[in-house]
Amino acid sequence: MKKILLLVIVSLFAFSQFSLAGLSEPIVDYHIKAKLIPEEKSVLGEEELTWRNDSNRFVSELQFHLYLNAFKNSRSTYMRERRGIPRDLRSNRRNWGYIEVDKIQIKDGPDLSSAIEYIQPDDDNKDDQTVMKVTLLEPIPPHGKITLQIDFYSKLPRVFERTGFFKDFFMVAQWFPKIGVLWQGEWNCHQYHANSEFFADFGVYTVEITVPEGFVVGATGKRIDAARNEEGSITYTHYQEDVHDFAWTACPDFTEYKESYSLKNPPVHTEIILLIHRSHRNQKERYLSSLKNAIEFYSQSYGAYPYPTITLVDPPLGGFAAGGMEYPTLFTSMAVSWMPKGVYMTEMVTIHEFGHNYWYGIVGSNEFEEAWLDEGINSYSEIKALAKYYGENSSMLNIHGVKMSDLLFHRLRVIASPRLDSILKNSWEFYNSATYGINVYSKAAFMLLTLENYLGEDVMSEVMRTFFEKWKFRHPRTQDFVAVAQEVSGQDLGWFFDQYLNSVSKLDYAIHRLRSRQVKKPEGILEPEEEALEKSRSGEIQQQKKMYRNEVVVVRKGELIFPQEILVTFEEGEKIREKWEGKERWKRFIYIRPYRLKLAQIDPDNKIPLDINRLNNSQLFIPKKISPLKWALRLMCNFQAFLSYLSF
Amino acid sequence: MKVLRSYGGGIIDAILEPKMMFVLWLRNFIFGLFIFYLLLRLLSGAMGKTVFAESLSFDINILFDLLVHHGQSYSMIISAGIILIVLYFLVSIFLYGGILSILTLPPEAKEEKRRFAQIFFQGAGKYFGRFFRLSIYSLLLWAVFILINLLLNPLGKLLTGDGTNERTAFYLLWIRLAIGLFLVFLIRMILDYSRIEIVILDSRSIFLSLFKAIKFVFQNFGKTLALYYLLVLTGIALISVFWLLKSYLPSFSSPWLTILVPLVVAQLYIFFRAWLKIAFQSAQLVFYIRLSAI
Repeated sequence: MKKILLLVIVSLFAFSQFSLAGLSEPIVDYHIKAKLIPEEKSVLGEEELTWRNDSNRFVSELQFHLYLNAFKNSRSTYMRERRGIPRDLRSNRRNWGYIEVDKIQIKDGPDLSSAIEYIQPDDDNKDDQTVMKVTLLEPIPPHGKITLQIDFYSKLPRVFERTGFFKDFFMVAQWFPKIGVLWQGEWNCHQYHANSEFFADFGVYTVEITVPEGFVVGATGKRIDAARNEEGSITYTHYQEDVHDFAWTACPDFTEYKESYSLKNPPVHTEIILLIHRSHRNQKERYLSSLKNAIEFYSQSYGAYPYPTITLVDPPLGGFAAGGMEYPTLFTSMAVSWMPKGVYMTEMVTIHEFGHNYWYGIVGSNEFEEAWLDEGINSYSEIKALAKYYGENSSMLNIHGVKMSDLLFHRLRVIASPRLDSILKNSWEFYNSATYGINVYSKAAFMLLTLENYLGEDVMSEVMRTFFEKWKFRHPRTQDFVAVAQEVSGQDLGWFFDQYLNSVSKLDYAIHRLRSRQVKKPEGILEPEEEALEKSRSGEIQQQKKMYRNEVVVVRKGELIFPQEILVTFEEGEKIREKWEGKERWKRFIYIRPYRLKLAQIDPDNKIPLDINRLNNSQLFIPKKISPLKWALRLMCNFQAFLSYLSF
Repeated sequence: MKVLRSYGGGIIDAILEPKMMFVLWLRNFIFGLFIFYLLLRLLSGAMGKTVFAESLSFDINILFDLLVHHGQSYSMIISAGIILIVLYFLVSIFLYGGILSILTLPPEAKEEKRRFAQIFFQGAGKYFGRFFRLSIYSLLLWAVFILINLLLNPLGKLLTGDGTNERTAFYLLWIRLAIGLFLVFLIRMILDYSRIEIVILDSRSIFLSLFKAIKFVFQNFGKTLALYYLLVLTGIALISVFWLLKSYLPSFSSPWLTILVPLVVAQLYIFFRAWLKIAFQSAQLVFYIRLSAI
């Protein structure tokens, strides 16, 4: 009775939200009953989905993601793109995963199961079953609704890519038939690719999760009920609106820690839930403090965290493949029990994955087509957050004096990049996962850091806030971000984004040459007035000091253009800052001084992280041996010590 | 008592052989110079003109730029380093004969030590072929070492539940490291006694010498181990002293002192390592002679 009453309340609440719209304009309303069958490593599900046609056209077919079919066999698009089947799948047939739709029916209407068809909108791979199309008997009119009842069976794979099981740890994600996005009049429902994440519409989720007793469960949204069943299982009901996905986890070895978190400015009230595997209990404080830092940073930088809960899932070592992944109001991080304090891996993953609640969760960009909008912006945010809380130079590593920043970690990826892809591309069309990662994470983050240094921190901060505010609970595209940046900064930034989003070229400016020559008096035949003038000048020169013609030549070695600053330092200590638009291939600066040049530096304040070579950004007039000598000697001594250990 | 006496004798004998220490240090220094030359050329070319050439502090940013933009030169240095390591290994085998020839000289033949170079290099030449063969045969022992490690893998998985029991996995890692180190020391000890056997008995049957050394080590397992670990502890003490010395070096205003003082300390360290290596040979030689009553 209690359960029925509760469901009625939830339904009424959800319906009111669905009709009146909360933070988002809900397109979907899911009611799912899911039962975990641990011995089969599977989930039995019943889904009731109400979908609203937000377009101005009649819709005669529906498209659904069946993501788990990516793990069904070696012929799926995911497996083909991945090039190589994980050993765990090969070794045991039970380790593969799939989803079967047993029935799909219009509520109180006809059964559509016979209309199920697998389609492959991206690659025509007829063996791929990750997208399902259902043709309707009657089209849905503009702004009309349809309610479907779907029975499904999800066999989870042994976890090697975000979702699945490891022993009795279950990360249940991308696990139910999820409707695609009818976007700009067309279905946007891509297959599961090796290099892409996800895209879905905002809405309301009410999910009842039934697990055997002893399992600790965490899920998207707020828990509104927990009921013990007669057969010795427990059903947890979770509810969340304004989200576009639902994931959950179950494991008997989780310890649950809860703590309420508040922030005054902006006002944030949420409940932090940590689900920590028993082997990592000593990592609780690290998780908690980094998560609090993350909530504070993102709330203050972009906007208040709006959800009532945030759940952090800590997978066991064997389930690490589920780690470092984001879902609305729930994310997985990773830790090992013996991780030294100065290695900020756990902090980095926690901050990054929490950040996806903003860039993916709230600002729901299309990860298939424009992954930089979530990964790039989030990596940019992650670099700044880690620098704030763990030090500019030590935000990744700080052990026994060895320091490394998160920025440096990303920079290494960017400068070593083979430059085969641009940032803006369909995720599955990248050359491989490495170039995907380099471009959509690191290079995109560096693009934004470079823009920040160009516009100034305050303007950039306003750009990000405005973008968040304008596009929260909506689906922005790249041009929307560019438009916000231009609007806020009041500048035409087309030249910037066109280059950096679409080009594979490099940004590399260098000091090409320094010269300093004594000024000599002119020779040859001069006009009488000029000769007189020169005489007086040479008298001046003799009276004063020797004069030098100092020359600095700067060059653009890459195709990408960016305005540059050049700092010229003279022997006597005089410093001159020059500006250069950087459009030409080279530029010469000449200074007549009674002293010589000492040093010229391009981008002297390291404001352009995208510049791939810092070694050519400066040049001394007189080369120095001291530092090379020191490092050569030090490395020699290390080599000697190594040799002495090798032999007797 | 025999162990302590052998240890003391070995330490003193090594102190009395400064020429040998010098030869070993010189060998190491010459090999180091090759790498120094290559590195200096690369670093001067890559950063000598830049602002980083003025700074003596370590900048990890520049390390990555050097690796990425001058990677080919580094590959060349790594290749050169591998060749140097092989050559160093061969030179070490060569010098072994010389060291043992000097150490096995009877006390009454002291005047012969005036002919140090002649005896040393004659011995080095005489035993090079035999010691080289011994190195080849020692691959059998290293194969056993690898086999034991491979056998420990499934045992580790069983105990750690595929890594789920992280604490157990962590401690097991240290235990495996300790076992590995123990085996490495054991093999090196056996090879030391094999060489001693070859020199003292002027044996040409290398395989037999190796077998006899194994027998000797296991027959006197506690004592041979005790002596070896006493010497290892001496080495650890030596490393600690130099580590402390390095850590507490004052900072100098002169850049040249900043470079030269650590260099001198490093060379002193290598020199004392040479002394320790001689002490290892000498102490085990004294111990072998005492126990074998030769």
